[in-house]
Amino acid sequence: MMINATGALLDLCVLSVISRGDAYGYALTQRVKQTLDVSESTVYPVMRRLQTQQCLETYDTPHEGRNRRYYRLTDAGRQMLGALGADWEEFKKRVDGILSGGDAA
Amino acid sequence: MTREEFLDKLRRLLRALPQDEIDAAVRYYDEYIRDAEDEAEALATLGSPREVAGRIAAEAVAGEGAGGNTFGGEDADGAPAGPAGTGAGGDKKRSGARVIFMVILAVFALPVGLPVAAVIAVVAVAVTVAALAALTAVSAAAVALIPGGLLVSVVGIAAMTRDFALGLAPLGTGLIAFGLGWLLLCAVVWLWRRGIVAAARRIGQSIIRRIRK
Repeated sequence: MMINATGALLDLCVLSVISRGDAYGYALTQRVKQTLDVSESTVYPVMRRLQTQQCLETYDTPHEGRNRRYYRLTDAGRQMLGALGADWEEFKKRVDGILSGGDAA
Repeated sequence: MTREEFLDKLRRLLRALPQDEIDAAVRYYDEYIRDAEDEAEALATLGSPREVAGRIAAEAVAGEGAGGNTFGGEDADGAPAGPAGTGAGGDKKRSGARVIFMVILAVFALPVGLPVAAVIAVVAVAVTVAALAALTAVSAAAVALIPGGLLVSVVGIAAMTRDFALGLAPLGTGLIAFGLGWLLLCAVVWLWRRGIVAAARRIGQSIIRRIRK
């Protein structure tokens, strides 16, 4: 796909994936990669930023003799997901408006 | 490269970041590689530690403001739409040097060529600044020695009216300081002229060369 997912779009996708179930780094990255054309090393900085913004929090669960770090949404994260989702709908509508040649909404 | 080697390099590349950031990143990638079915393949698709570190550093620098979190191109307003809004200035302790280091790290993640040019430019600027600083220090010493030497000499002459031997020592010391000051001043002026003339000549030559092309 030629359209790059950066910034808010990437945030939205990461939050959305985690909202459907807590996830660990590798699985989350693979899931995002299935949909978006991003490199492996793109996802961590996004998650780290969302974490410092307190949209995500982590907890550790034992797995094969070590701990696996899971990410889950906080209340702030759910709010962010809602806000970004609404922004995305708006953005999509506008772009569709341009593509169909109609007047600006 | 093994997992340990990768993490070791990553840790070293990130050393300018706060310790908890380094630990979090290393821990994440440690788990990431372990969770992959094939360690070698995971390492191959991740890219070099430098690329991975560059992405983290780029985000750390950009994230100083607020990060992504807004749609559309214009980030000029800057206000994050986020409810948390804590991303901004999360780490006020971050020094200027640290930011510069992270920028350099981010630059290193770019294709080769650009970083090399950047390093050469930075080194050239550093050498120039250091040379100017040294020259300024020597000038200051020279300027201080001349009136200081004179003053001590005058004190010596005044003392000589009371006790010849007691006055002779400060007079001598003062004259030495005075002479040393002049010598340094001459050296500084000479260096300045030479430096400026040489720099001007070099710039002139490069301009001429460019025009001829």
